[in-house]
Amino acid sequence: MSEQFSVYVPKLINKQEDFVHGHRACQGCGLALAVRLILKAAGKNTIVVSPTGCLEIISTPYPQSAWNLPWVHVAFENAAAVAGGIEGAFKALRAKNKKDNKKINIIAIGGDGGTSDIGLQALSGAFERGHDFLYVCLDNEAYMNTGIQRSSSTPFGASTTTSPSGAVSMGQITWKKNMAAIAAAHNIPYVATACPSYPFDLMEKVQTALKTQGPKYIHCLVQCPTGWGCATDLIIRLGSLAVETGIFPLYEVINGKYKLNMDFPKLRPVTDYLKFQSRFRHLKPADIAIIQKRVEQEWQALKQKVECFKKTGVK
Amino acid sequence: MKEKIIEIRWHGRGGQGVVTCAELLAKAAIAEGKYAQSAPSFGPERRGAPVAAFLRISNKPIYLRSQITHPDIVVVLDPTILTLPDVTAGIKKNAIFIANTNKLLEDVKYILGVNVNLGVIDATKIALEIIRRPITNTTMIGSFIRATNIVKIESVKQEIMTRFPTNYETNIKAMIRGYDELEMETDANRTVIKEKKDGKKAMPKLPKWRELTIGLTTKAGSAQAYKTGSWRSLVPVTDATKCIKCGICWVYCPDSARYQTPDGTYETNFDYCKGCGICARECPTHCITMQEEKE
Repeated sequence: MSEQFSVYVPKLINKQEDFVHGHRACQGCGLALAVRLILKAAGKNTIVVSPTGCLEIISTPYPQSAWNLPWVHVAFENAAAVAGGIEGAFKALRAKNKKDNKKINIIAIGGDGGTSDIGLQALSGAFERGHDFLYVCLDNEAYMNTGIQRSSSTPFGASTTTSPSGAVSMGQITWKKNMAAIAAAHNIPYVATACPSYPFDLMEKVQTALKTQGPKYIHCLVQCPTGWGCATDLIIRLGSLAVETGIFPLYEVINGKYKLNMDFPKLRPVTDYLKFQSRFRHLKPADIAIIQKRVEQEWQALKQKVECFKKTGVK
Repeated sequence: MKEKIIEIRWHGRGGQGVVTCAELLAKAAIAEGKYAQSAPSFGPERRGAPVAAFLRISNKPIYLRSQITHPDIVVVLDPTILTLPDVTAGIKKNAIFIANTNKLLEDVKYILGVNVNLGVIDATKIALEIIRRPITNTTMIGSFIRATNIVKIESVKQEIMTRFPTNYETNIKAMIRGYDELEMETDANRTVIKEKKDGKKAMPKLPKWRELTIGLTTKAGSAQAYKTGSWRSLVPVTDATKCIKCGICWVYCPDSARYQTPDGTYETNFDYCKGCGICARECPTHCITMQEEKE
């Protein structure tokens, strides 16, 4: 298996499929694609923990499993705690000489609900204790598994079944929780945002994370044609548009130092991204202007952080 | 039907509006002063997977809350699931069976292998013409009303208008065409076939709680036994002469359903391809086109 993903050649990617076909994801599921790519980057010697959510439902319908790896399903709120426990168990076994020192990757893969709503305290605790594990949040921006209910990760203006658009309501009225910033605020060694529309970038980030010692966090935007109300073949374009409009910037925070992976001299207007999705269809030009303003503010704030660390050279 | 509860089972694929169908008819029946009940049934499968919905209509209050195992009427919204044994499972003698198919009455009967009062309609064609998407639910409602006469077409129209306030016109048009174009078996053209032994699948006997086994260990990657290829309605067709062997389609396939042939080009594994169309959209040379699924 090649480690050279920056060469950008599909031929060099690990051919082994650890998330096998036959899983029950919807047509055009960005989550299934992201998991497939993450496991390709992680390779062998990986243990995956995942809380309740789409991923659990689609990968393990009784009595089958789509995982070619050891996989643990745990309750909604404690994926990070269980991942920390697995790491602790390996430590204890090694101390008793019952296990060799082979590197084992422990990856917790949760949805946005299991990460930013229900599992947040366990995640924060695991970051604080400094377990050596990678947490990947596959953020599809609502509770898609149970029928598109809003989560704290749902973007402003999106229509979901619990924040419906209508005569009085304009959909979600709060802004998306910035999970990557929350993770970075724990001062952990590696935080990144990624999207399967940029598969090599995503895989490289997973590999960088797994090489780093300590708790790591990757926030991955995954497209959901069912919940977003978009065509199934458009999901890769939508991911790119989310990045190009600045709605979901791709960046890394390595030991507190911000690094922008995709910089644009000028951002595309947010309507390019919003117009393909029926969850934003009801938005009026005034609402879109609010989103545009907020996106630009956040983009500038991020750029300032990047510039700041460039100048001071803080490591 | 004075005292009796009429039990109707709907089969289709997720996304075709099977559940909506049962719901609309239940609401229409209630508006007419009858008692009705609708419930969906689906497993962990999603858009594209076979699903069923249940509908009970009666003149008396309905206290039953179970799934329907012995239906009086079965409606199948998708032509590709007629071969599944589930559609005829536990079906009553002389039940009404309405199928969305472009086949002849006689052929469908042999596929089903059960002597039922059969009606056929090419609802996919009608839906594509009127709604421009293969969503066949309102067309099948029309056929259902014609075949059974349980609810009135006017009350369903009203329900469709409240349910789809923006695009009810096309849906009502589709329903009326479904009503008009249904081809029903009559005594004159009835074909009686020898019933297949396994055609009328009985409900499996469930174990008692003492007989239950304690969990099981799943083999890694055992989901491969489930072929998701039947979910798709569009199929990717690859022109190997235009393929530049870049592998982009392979990288972007969420179902890992693209594979490399010995000569380096990429082909689709039709056992697992769900037909999302990402490969066709992302192929740099446009060598993949999405075409309608043929048998």
